Amino acid sequence: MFTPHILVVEDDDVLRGELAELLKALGATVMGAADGEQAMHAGRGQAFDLVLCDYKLKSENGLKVLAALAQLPLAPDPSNLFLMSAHMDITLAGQGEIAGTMGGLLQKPIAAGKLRAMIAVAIAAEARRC
Amino acid sequence: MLSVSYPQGFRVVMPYFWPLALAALALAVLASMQRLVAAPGFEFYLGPLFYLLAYRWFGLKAGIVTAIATMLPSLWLGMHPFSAIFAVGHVLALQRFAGRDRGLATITFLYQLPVGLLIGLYLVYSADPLPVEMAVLVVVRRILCETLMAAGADISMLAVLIDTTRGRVRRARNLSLQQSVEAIVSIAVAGAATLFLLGELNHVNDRLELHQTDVVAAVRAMPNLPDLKHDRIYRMKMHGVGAPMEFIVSSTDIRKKASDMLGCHRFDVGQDQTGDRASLRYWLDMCYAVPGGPGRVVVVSPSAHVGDLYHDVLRGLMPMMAYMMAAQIGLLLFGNAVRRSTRTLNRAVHSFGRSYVTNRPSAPFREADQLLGSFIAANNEFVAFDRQRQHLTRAVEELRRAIDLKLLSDIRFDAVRSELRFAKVDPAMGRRGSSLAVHSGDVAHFASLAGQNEIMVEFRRGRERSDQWYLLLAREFDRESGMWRYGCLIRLRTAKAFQSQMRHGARLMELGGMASALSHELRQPLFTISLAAENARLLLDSGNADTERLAAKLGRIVEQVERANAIIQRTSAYTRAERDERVTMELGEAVRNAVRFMRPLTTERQIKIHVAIPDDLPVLPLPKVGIEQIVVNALQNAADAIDLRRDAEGLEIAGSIAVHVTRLPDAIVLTVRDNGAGLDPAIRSNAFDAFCTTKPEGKGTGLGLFVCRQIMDEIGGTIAICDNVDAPGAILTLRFPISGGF
Repeated sequence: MFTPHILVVEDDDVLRGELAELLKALGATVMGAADGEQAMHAGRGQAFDLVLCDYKLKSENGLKVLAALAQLPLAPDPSNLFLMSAHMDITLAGQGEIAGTMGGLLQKPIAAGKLRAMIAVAIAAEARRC
Repeated sequence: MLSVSYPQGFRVVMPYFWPLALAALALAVLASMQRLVAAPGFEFYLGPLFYLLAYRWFGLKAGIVTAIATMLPSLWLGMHPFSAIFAVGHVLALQRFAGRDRGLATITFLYQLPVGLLIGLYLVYSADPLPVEMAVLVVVRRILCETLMAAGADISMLAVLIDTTRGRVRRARNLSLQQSVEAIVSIAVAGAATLFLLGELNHVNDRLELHQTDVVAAVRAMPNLPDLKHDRIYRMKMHGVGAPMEFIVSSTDIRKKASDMLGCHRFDVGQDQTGDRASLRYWLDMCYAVPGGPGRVVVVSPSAHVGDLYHDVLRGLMPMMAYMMAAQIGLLLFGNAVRRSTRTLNRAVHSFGRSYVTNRPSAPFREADQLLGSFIAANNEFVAFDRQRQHLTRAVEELRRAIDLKLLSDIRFDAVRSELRFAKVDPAMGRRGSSLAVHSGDVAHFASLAGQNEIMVEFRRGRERSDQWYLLLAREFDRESGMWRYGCLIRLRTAKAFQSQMRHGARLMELGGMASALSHELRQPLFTISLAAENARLLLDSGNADTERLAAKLGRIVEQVERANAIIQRTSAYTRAERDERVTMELGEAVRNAVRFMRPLTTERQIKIHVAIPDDLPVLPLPKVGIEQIVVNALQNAADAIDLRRDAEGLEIAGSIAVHVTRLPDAIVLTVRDNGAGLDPAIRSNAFDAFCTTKPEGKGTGLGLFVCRQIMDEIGGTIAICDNVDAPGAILTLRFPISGGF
């Protein structure tokens, strides 16, 4: 059975750890990155089916990190790039940009069911491709 | 014995009053029985004097009783029976028209005129008629006598008063103007007329004496005397006598014939003879008996001559009476004018200070009018003053009701008893010493104010209760007594509550601005918790639960819950309505707290905060929450200003805020400097006013800097904001004095 490979970009170590653990438990393989640099490094070497990136990284904007990742040769389909944010008030312009260039915005806290569904969608997509 | 009860509750008893009164009445009656003769034909009784005095001194009843008592003898003496009635009428007329303030003489004069007319008519048309001249004379005599006696009673009254309530005779303290003038003029005019009349009457007497001698001589010189027949009426014309005189010659039964033919009832035989020569009637029915030879007597009736003589007297007297009449009418008018003047003045005095007098009444006398004028001027001045005073009192009262204002003097703070001591200045009650317990939280502040010449301090009353706020303004500190000389105390009903509400509101507004930053902070641990919980559940579901791993998961959850809790604690501590207690603290601590609180926001907006706080800051009594609020507000404004500049110039500008605390010898200075858009020129002058804001609707209340200044004012510090000199952005400077003011 297809195992989706997921990149998690999150500066909060504890959160990143728990998220990775849950995604693994849901049947994915997970790669963690604490900042944009680590994420780019991972993206250059591996192909990911899903990317979950925090919006507000310590010194970077998650949107920019995702945009950079999308430029990589092994980049996944833009619809599989997800931005995670705890912010309610991302400007409308920001929301438009997110909607137009990637999969979507995930409001923290993200329910486990949502994550499960995303993995299921990824598996289904892969199955269709095959 | 007469006893008088006073309303005050005591009685004055006058022993022997009634016996004395009766004795006086008896004496008066005795004296009134005496017929007094001032000149032949001028006879009078003293009765009127007694009843007038009785009326004046003891009132109407005594007057009437005395009038009847003193006039009754005239009944017995065969005089006309009306005298008692006229006397009672006299007293009643006085009571009706003279009253208390008018004199007796004028009313007496006016009353006696018609009464005299009646008497005159009676005399002329009675069974035994008097010639008109005589009747007029009798009437004039009566009028003069009574007027003189009334004037006499007036003068007695002016000099002597009888205090019936105390039973004492005393001198009048002051004279009644009207009564004095009336008495004096009446005495003068009636006295002159009386003297004239007396002189004339005496003259009549003398002339009749002479006339008698002339008649005797004329009869003796009559050449045809022996030829005259008996018992016939002859007429004799004498030189110097207008009307011819009737006479008869007779030898027998002379008295009867004289009575029948000439109307003579008596014969005059010279002044040493008995017979009432002083009475008018005597001369009317008297004849001269002249021996006319042996066995013959010539009886001559001088009545025509007597009539002529009295006619002459009356002719002389009439102008005098007219003059007297004019004088009495003048007196009446004068009296009315005096009464009008006194009444006008009296009314003015009684209504003094009640209202403005715009319609100035006039008094008949110039002197009174001038007095009235100055009085009305004084009245109007007083009323204006009084209205102003009332207005002021009302204003003070309203002010007092509205803000409970008290004016104070000699204010000092008693540090031992934690009391504010002062003297209340009350317009109604004068000065009263008082004190007010000061809340323990404000004692230190109060103690530090000693020595300042002018203070303005808000404090709470009571030792435990802390909801009543007062504002004390005091000035002119006197070092010797340690007191402020003047001041006022205002009870703050709403001000303080409103203030704290406002501060709370301002903080909530800041919190609103912080909401997004906070939500991020909370969502982060919340997400971690949910993930860890989900993982733990999956772990349990898998069946190979590793206790250690499970415990680690739960531990992580607890840890994250604590993290969230800390965030909530920090926020709610700040947003809780303050108690604005001063705590001894170091300024740096409050600054650090505030910066920590704002960190999420500044991080979110990618603004760097540079904090520099020296280690050796002194510890000061400060309102911790207030200071934190100022710094939070400053950081918020700085962050907003940076956003504003970014919007204007592009997002790439690196935001930075520098929070510096510097220690100076007498103060600690806190500066918050940003590189934002700087101050809007439109609000540079009123940045600290309430509701002054440049932020869009929903973003700012305009209360931030206003509240900051209030807090700084309270602790005696200063706050200022200005643009940076050398770079974009603004700098907020707070200055906390180290000594004095705290």
